[in-house]
Amino acid sequence: MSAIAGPAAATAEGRALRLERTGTANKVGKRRRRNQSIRTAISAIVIVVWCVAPFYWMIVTSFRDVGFTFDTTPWFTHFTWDNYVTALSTNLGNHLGRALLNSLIIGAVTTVICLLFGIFAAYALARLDFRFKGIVMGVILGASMFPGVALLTPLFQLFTSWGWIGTYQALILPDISFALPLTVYTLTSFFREMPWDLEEAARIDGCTPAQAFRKIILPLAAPAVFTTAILAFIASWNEYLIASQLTTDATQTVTVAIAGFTGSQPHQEPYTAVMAAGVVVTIPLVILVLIFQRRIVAGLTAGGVKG
Amino acid sequence: MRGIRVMGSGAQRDPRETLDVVIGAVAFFAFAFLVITVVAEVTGQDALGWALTLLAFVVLLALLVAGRRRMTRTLAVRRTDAARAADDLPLDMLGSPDGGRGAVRR
Repeated sequence: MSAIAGPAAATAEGRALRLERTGTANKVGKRRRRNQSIRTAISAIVIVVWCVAPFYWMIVTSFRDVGFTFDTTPWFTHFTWDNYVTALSTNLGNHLGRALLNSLIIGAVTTVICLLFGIFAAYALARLDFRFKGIVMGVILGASMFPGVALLTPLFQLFTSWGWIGTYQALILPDISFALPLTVYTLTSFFREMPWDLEEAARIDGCTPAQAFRKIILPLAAPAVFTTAILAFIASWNEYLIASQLTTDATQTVTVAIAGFTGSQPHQEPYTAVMAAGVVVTIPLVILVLIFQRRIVAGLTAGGVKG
Repeated sequence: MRGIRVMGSGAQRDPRETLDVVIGAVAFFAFAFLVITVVAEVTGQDALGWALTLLAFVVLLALLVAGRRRMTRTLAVRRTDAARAADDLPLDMLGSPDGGRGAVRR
């Protein structure tokens, strides 16, 4: 009996053992996955709080009565719209509306010119093989690392002699020199990962190189182009150093306008009005990012994975 | 002299390209400091600090260029070895024209 039952019992035992092992492995796997999800969620929450907290504080303070500027209550108290009225009013010598328009013009022109040159430069650097290609990229990288403050005095002297102080081009030109390396680098890394077979197929189908670029490459590169456009625009929008020296009242950008803000009370730093102006200035960027959100996410992740 | 040509879809990146980028960036700063040093010297300002900074960049640049040369040599040797290894392979392994019967030998 035992001789017959022996192998059968052993098989059943083995199966049970296997099942138990599989069950334990599944449980361990599930626990590990759950722990990983919890860690990811905590990290995400910390990052979001870290990034959003200053903006939240800016909004809370912008709606607070000027008498309670230094109140540290973390939610809305002493609610008022007066700060926005002060920020947008021209009676106190603040020209936020005009500054917004100036920043918009300068940012838009800078972005368009950067994209125009950046797309072609990035395409050439990614697609063509020529002597000193790496060195050209190194020089672009070096130019992007050059400290802006070192250029301030020479630029001021140059633009004074050209009569450019207080003009749009006095800000657009330096902004382009800061944003163009960023544009070229971002687009080059994207173009490198592009499936060039599609372009070759278009050429075989009878497209000229320009047509293949316009009809195949550019639509494929749209996410990266949008992402780069946003980054270039933000870089230009937030520029303060050059703008603080090369503008007059007529061409002041938002960063300079906010720095020179005057409040409704004399001899008092208008922190709440500055916060209100900060919120107003941030809104166009938020709208821009929300409009192009899907394309930006696609562009940010593009080029990160090979194959 | 190598001209401008379109890279194929399966073309591999030159392994020296990363080093080239660093050389380019260092060369840019070396050039900037050269200009600053010359201007400081010509206008009669104290140029010693600028000149020493320029020297540091030039030394770094020389080291990088030497490293690039060594890399080029290593790559050339590796390529030659690979080509020689391919030549030494028996023809039937490469798909000989006589179907591996051994009629065509090198």
